Amino acid sequence: MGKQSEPLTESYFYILLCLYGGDNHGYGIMQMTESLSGGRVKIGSGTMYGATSNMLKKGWIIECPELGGERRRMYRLTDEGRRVCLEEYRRLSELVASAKTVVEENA
Amino acid sequence: MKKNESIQKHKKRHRVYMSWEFEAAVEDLNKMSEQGWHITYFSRFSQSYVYDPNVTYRYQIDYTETIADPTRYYETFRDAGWLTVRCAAGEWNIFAKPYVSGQPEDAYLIYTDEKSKKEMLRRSRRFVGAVLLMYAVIIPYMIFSLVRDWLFMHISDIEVIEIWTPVLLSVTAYMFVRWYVSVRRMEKGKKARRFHYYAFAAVSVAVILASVISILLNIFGLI
Repeated sequence: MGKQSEPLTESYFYILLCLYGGDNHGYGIMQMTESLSGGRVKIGSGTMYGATSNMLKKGWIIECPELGGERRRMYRLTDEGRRVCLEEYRRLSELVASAKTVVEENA
Repeated sequence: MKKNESIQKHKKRHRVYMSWEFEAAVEDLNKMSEQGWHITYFSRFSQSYVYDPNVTYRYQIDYTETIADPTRYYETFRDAGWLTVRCAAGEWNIFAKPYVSGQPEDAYLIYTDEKSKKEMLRRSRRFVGAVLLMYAVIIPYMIFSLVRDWLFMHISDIEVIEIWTPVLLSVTAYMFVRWYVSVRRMEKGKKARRFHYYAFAAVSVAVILASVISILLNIFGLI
């Protein structure tokens, strides 16, 4: 543990986040990201393909077939992916906590 | 269906697009589509359009080398509502999405963050870097040997080929430099300048003509 990794881009973080609660397919992740961020963050298909390719390579996610339904390609978070997502969550919380301290002190 | 509704109007255009001009191509395709002309086949030298005033498409071009997982690649675009355009332009992949009026323009982007856009641009200039490196070795050597021959031989002894190969090589090298510079500009968020292919073609033809004439003159012993 304690492997220092550079901050994730917003797209990367949202992709991991959208898989945290369960498997999802590319388009599902795009829609979920948009609704979670209130329309601010959008993930285009080029960005999506590049990011998922990288994550598959790094072992953060794996592909799995959808059961029943349209049988679309689904992505699943691995333990490593879950760890990266949580680590980023902690880093972001720390940033917010620091900002809160400073801003409230100088209010 | 009325008879005239089944007749489709087609149009062919011959615009030349250099391989780094994907932004210019997207602009042109969007503009044509707004006028009712939608691309059906794209190559860097000719484009076919079909007329339908009832729809408008927004276009995007992705630059890819060999796609590691083509099924997953096309599926990712298709699921998000992108249609593929028949395209014979090397590493270009052209996508179209029907435009819904009132939707923000950023809903029609395939690269939505700086990082992934830069990755795409970097891909598109990787090849150019290698070519330029090759030129950087070949052209100075050719100029060197030309100057050397010039100094130690009679001008009439120099093979014509020795003169025009470096010139032709320089012309193509110029094109690659333009490619490299354009992509670097795009990486910095600036727009790439349009390539004036007419001027470029004119220079190339002039160089070739000049060499053909000098070869002919040489054959007839006039030089």
